[in-house]
Order: sequence, then C-alpha cells, then structure tokens
Amino acid sequence: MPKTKKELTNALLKWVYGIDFLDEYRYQQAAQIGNTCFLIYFFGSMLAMLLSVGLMRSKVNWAMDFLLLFHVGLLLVSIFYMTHQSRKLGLLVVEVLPEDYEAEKNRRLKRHRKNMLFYFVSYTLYSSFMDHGFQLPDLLADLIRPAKLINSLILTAILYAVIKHQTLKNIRILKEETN
Amino acid sequence: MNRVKDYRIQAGLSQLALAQAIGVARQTINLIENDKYNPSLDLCIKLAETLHTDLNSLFWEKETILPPEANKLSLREQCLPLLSSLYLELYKVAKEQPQYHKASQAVDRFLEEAKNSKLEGVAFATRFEAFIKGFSLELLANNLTMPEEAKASWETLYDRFQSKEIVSTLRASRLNFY
Repeated sequence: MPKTKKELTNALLKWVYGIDFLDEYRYQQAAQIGNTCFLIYFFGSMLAMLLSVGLMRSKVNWAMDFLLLFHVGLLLVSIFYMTHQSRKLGLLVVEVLPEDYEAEKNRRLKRHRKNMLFYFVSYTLYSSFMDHGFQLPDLLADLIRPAKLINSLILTAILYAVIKHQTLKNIRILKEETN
Repeated sequence: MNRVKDYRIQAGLSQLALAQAIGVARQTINLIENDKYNPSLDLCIKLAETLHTDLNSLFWEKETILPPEANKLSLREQCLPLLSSLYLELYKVAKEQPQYHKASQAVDRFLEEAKNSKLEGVAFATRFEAFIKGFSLELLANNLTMPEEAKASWETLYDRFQSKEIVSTLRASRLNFY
C-alpha cells in the first residue's frame, strides 16, 4: 500500500498509464502527457458546453446527446493522444535479459488476466446501467441475461487479444551489453 | 555534450548496470548520454557518485566553466608584470647611468606596494594615477627622458593608465566625491 502522497501519485500514474517501471524521465513525460490531455479535455468541455447551450436555446432536442457525444469524443482523443505519446516515448517498454523474458511475460499476462476480469465485470455493469439506469429490479435481471454476458465476454476477449499483443511488444530483450 | 558515456565506459559499466545502480530505466541513461534528456540534480548527483567523479567533470562544458569576467585579472594584477619589467630595465640602465637610480627605486617602491597591498578598484586606480604622475614629474624635474630599453614597458604601463577602465573608474570616484 502506498504510504506517502508521492507514492500514491506514482501508483496512480503507473496504473493509469500502464507504466511498469516509473523513473524520473517517465514520470516527467507522463506528467506532460497528462497536462496536455487536461488542456484538451478542459477547453473541449468548455466548447461542448457552449455549443450545447446554444443548441438548447435554439430548442433543438438533441442538445444533450450532442454534449454527451462531444465528451465521449474528447475522451477518445485524450486516450488516443496518451497511447500514442506513451508508445512514441517508449514509456511502456520494459527491457529484460533473455533468461528473464519468460518470467516477465508470464507476470504481465497474469496481471492482464486480472485486469480483464475487472473489465468484464465493470463493462457488464456499465452496459446494464446504461440500459436501465437506477431501476434496480430490471438492472439485476439484465445483469444475468446470457446475451449480455456473451456480449461482454466477446468484447473482453477482443480487448484482451489487443492488449496482450501490445504487452508482448513492449517487453524487449536486451541482446548484448550496450556500450 | 556531457561525458557520462566516457565515465561509464571508464568505470567498466554497461548502460543497464548503471541504470540499475541508480534506479532508473536503461533508456533514461541512453537519453542522458545522447543529450536528449536533462536529468534532475538528484539524478546527476547519483550518477556522479556511481561513476566516482564530480558534477563538473560529468556535465560542465569546458568552454563555459567560468564566465569571461572571472578570468579577467584585476587592474593591480595586470600592472604587476609591467612594473616588474620596467623596474628591471631601469635597474639595468641605472647601473651604467646613475641618474636613473632614483627612478628605478621609485618603481621598485611602487611595485612592492602593489604586490603587498590589497588595494583594488578605485583605491588602486587612484594610487596608480599618483605614481604615474609623480614618476613623470620626477623625470621631467631631473631633465631625464625614458631610456630606450625601458620605453616599451613604460608605454604599455602608460597605456594601461589611460585605459577606459581606469579613466571611467577615476571619473566615477571623483563625481561621487564632488
């Protein structure tokens, strides 16, 4: 468990960005990426708010949908930027010696399996909530619906495959001592 | 360009070994060595300690070790060699022409004073002015001209006396005084 504020920040950064080894350089780069994402999101939200208020005043009934979609768009842009920068700057790369490769691979895959379980549960809850809101009986009934579970399972499997590919790509073997 | 790579190779360490020793990723060491990342002071100190050297040797550019002004000698320090050579030349002349004996002694006295005193800035400029004027007057009073052998040193010293630095220093001190 992180004890100090700094340790907590580091743990959060590692979790959000997926950085395995957070050193000074990676911390600074992650902070910089975070700042840019914040600016994108902050000014984007202001723009979205302004436009949706304009739409509401014009008595357009899709103003709320527009606001939500704009935010989803901003979120996607931020995530894309974050992923692109992390890959470009090599923040997620872990270098291991040949003999440690298998152990590192298994460790990471195990962690990803846990993450995927978390994703499966949260996606199922999320999609049911989006359909039924706070109507608890309907929500609970929807949660155990086979079609819903299969849908969540398929999405989780696709995501797992993509992330597994990326994870394995980020483990690099140090072939020789670099001078 | 810093000298982290040179010192690392000299210490017989790989990038990975150095990275592990100071607790960063190997890529960070690579970026530092290629001047693509400016490490924090903490990291610089760790690097210097691990490589058994100091920060100057690792990161300081030789050309900029000291600002140009720091290499500049003070007026007193600039005058000392000129006074020494003037004294030696006058001393040699005085051996054959005793009328220059007093002049060489005057230079010797001022040279000793300049060597031993800690006068700098305005104080030295004022004292230097008094010496130059007094010395010139003494030569005139005794109807002497500067011998050929000592002319070069004297002219250089006189040029130094007329330099912008001294003129402005003396002028500023007088303005302050009045």
